[in-house]
Order: sequence, then structure tokens, then C-alpha cells
Amino acid sequence: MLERILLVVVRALFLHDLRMLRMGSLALTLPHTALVYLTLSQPSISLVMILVQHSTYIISGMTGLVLYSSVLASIPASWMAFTQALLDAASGGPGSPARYVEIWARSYAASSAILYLVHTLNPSEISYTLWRLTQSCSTALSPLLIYRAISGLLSEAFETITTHRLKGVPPWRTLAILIFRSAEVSEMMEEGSYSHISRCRPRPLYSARGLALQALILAIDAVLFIASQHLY
Amino acid sequence: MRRPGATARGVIVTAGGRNIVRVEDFHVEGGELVAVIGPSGTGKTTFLRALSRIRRRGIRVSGSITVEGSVTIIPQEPWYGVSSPYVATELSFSGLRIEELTSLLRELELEGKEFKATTSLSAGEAMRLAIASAMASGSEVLLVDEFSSYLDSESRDASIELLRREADSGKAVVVVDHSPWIVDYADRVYVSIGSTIREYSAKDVMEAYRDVYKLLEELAPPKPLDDIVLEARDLKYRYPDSQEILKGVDVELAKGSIAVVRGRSGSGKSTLLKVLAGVYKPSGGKLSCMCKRLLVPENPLFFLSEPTVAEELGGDKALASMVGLEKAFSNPIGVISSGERRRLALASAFKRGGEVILVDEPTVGLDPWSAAKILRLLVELALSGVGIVVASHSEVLARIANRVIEM
Repeated sequence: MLERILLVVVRALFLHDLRMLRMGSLALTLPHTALVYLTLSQPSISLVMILVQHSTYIISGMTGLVLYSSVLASIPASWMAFTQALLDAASGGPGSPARYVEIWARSYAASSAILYLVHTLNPSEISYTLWRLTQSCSTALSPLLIYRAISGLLSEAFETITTHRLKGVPPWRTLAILIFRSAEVSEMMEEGSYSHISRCRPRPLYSARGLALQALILAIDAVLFIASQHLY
Repeated sequence: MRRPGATARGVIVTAGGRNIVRVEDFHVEGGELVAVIGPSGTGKTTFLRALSRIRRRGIRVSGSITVEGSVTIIPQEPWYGVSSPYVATELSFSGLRIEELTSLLRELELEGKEFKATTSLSAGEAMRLAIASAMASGSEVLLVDEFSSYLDSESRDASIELLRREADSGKAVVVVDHSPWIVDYADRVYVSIGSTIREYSAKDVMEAYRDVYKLLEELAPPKPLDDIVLEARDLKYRYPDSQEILKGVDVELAKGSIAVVRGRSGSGKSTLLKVLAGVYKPSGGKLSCMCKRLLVPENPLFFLSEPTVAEELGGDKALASMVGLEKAFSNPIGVISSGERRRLALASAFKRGGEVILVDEPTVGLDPWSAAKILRLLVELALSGVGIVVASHSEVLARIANRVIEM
């Protein structure tokens, strides 16, 4: 079970290479997430925004993300709906099914919008921005290293968990090895990044198609948001 | 004009009062490729770190070390020589535009990998990217640790030629390795024996390695039993974001036999082991195995689950002695070497009753003496009735194989 959850998390966050949607700008993706949050009181609108978001994954050739991020976003959504149902049951009786569907939809949209930020994060842009602000190579390198370390360690964690499952080891022992390994990895990454820390000239990498696609999502979001203000 | 290079004179590196490595006189200058070779555990990596001025906790360096020029160190596991999540962002950090980095990658035979995640690169590709990154950053002194460990022979040759070119262009290159093949490419060779590093002639180097080649020649495959423990027909596997990596592989493994899966880095050897182990579900074909399977991954630490050698082996001293770990019996797994971890993982898999043991790259990162020990251990395990599938880019594994599966 643990390895399946981890596999979904790894794939939902890091599946696919540096595709065009990942070579856009935070200035275009952050407003999308903000607009989804602003329309959460009207879940049908925010869900349409998420539908548009998923369509752009497909256009960008990141189809796998639709499945895995939907599964991942469904976990907190289902938890919220379920715990609300429990609370309602404890305080006098269950509410209508539509209420739980609405809670699920809101939470799903909110989680998917956050995942969009992760999926479209352009590491070269973040690194360049930090370098412009601080002129420090180690600060500029940190987002790249963090991104690299998280994806690497999650993949290693998956490998350890599956190996230990075959061996019949309880999960808490696996955790100890993972902690030990993360210390080893951090030492090796420190060594490997030695030259980058002393010298750097970060340059942001953008894709014109990626930027256009993100701008298109934002334009559709804006129309939906304005419409929602007039419809409700 | 200042010439890049490094010099070490009368250097002694100690940890906890114990001598790790001693170097009387070492020098490398721009235009040279210098090799430091020798068995594992003789202080080669420690010396490289001292040269780069990387200081780990508890390590003391005395003597004189002088370095001229900017330094890059490429660690033994080449993935850690890469600091970015994607190939393109690794090189753009040093200021390369997309067209510049594409051209550099073409030169290093990494064309088309610009947008790949660095975690998905094979060892050979990661090594070449780490070298590309050093080139892009303009480093003048390149220190490369355990160079050939993770590389197949083609990637190894391509990478050393690249480093030779870097040296010829005026950089100072130091390459650490545990095998003498590098002698042909080096201007000078230092050998690390008994924790002392000193210069040797190429002829003396080959002499020092003669006994281990004899040891390897004596190895032979085990005699298999008739029962088939694992059978796979037309196996296929596809990762969700890539093309089909296994395209119809057949495997038949008898009890007490060793099958070796061979192929270049990135050819799907590790994936095949994971499919055979049941970690990945095949996307096509048939796999039948009603036996206990255990997988020993490329990094043996992932297999280990107990804090000490003794606990991992359930207190079995006889088994520890069979795999040459009697002296390390009470040691924590954090302090034992890579070769010891590998032997411990294999012994632990045997102890846990694995009827089929799948081992990924068992000799990677090991000197020829430790590799010979591992090969002997694999034969002994097979003789006790275990079916073994080994994935490796090393040609030496073929010596103990009853069957070779080419990928």
C-alpha cells in the first residue's frame, strides 16, 4: 500500500521531462491558482478551470499527469468529504449527498491548482530570479538542488520500500534506512555541487509555446471568473 | 600566465588519529591527465577530497596542498555530480543558451537529451553530463572519482577520450580508478597501496594487478540442477512516460544456475530485474515463478534493514565468515565499505531463504579483488541451490554465467 501511494506521489509530481508547460513563468501560473481559489465557493467554475488545466497537460504531451495528479488530488478531497460526513453523523444525522460532493469538488480543485504550480515550476526561472536578488550562487542553486534531491530521494524511497517488501521488512525499519540514506545523499550532493557554488551565471530557459499556453489558460480563467461574478 | 594544476607534498590525511592516506609527492598541471589507481579502501577518494579542499567532519589534513585554478569534483556516483533536475537547467546554470547547450550535448553524444530529467539518465549519460557541466562552468582542474565504476566499456571509452581532450586543451585532469585500464590514457600513474600514494611506471602497475587477473581466470559457472524455478516468455514493459523498454524478453532459470543479463547502460537491465522480481507488472508476456524472490538493488544499502552486520545476518557467524565479514560482524552498516555492504546484502538474501536472488550490478564500484570475492560468493550461493539472475555491464560476469541474456 505504502509503495503504491509513493509511486502515485512520485508520478503525480515528477512524471515527464522538461516539457513546454514546465518552461513557462510563475507570473502566469500563480494567477491561475489564485483564480481557482477565488472561485472555490462556486465549485462548478473552479472545476471547469481545472478541466482547462488538464487539457493543457494533454496538449503538452503530459497526459500521464492527468491521471496521477487526479488520483493524488482525490486523496485529500475524499478525506475532507468523509470526515465531514463523520462529523455530521456525530452531530445529529448525515447531510445530503450533494453537500459531500461539493466538499469533494472544492478540495479536489484546490489540490489540483496547487499541483499545477508544482507541474509548471520552471526551475531555471526561480534560480535566475534568486540570483538576481542575492547575487549568491549557492542561493541560486538551492531550488535546483532541492527539486533534484526530492525527486531523487522519492525514487530511492520507492526502490527501498519495494525491496524491503519482498524481504518482509516492517515499514518502520525501512524508514530508518531512508533517513540514513538521505544523510549520505546530502553529503554527496554537497560534493557534486562544489563547482556550482563558487561560480555561476544562471540563465532562465523559456518556451514560447509554453508561455502562450499558460497565457491562454489565464485568459480562459479570466473569462470564467468574470462570468461567475455576473452569473451568481 | 598562471597555469592550472595541483601539487601535494608530504600530505597525511587522518581520521580519529588513524592514517587514511599519505602522499609524499603528487603533481598535475594543465595539459596533463594523471591517474590514481589502487584497491578500494586505500584512501584514493579521501586524497581527491583533500586536493579539492572538501573537508568532511573528523578529517585532518597536514602537509602542503597547492591548487591553481577553479576546481570541479565529479563524485563516484555520477548522478551526484549533477545538481539540477533537468539536463538543460544543469547547463543553463553556467550561462549556456539553449542553442549552445544543444551543441555541447551533441559533442558529448547526448543529443536529444536536453529536456530529460537527470534522475532518468543512465550512469554513462550522467557522467558525460557532469563532465559537460564542468566544461560549461570553465573549471580548470577536474577531479574525477572512481571513474569507470558505473560505465559500460563503450561509455567508459567515450568518457575517457573526452577527459583526454579536456587535458589536451590545457586543463589539469586527475582520474581515480581501481583498475589499470586507464594507464593507456594517462600521462602519469600514481598507485595507492597500503594507504600510501606514489608514482609507478605503467609496467609496475600491470605487475601489481597480475595476481587478481589469475584469480578471475580460475572462476567457472556452477553446475545447474534440472528444476526450472523462474520462467518468462516474451516479457514487455513500458514506463508511463517513455517508450517500451522491454520488448519481448525470454528468461529460463534453473535451480542452482546463474543467468547474466548484459547490455549497455540504460538498456533496461535493472527494469528486467524489477519485472522478474514482481516489483513492476509486465505490460505484456508471461512470467511464472512460484518461489521466494529477493532483489538486491544496485545500491545494496536499499536491501539492508538492520543496524548492524550481526543483526542483518541474524547472528549467524558462520555465514558472516563465508562472505568474509567476520571482522566486521559487530560493525554498524553505516561504517562498512561498499564491497562489504554488497557481500552482506547477498548473504542476507541467502539467509532469508531466497530461492531466486536477483542482483543488480554486483561488482560496480569494487576493485578487482573485491569483485572476484563477490563472483565466488555468487557461485557458492548457486551451488547451494539458489537460482541467480545478475544484471551487469561488466564483461567479467560472463565467466560465472550458465546463460547470458543480451539486452
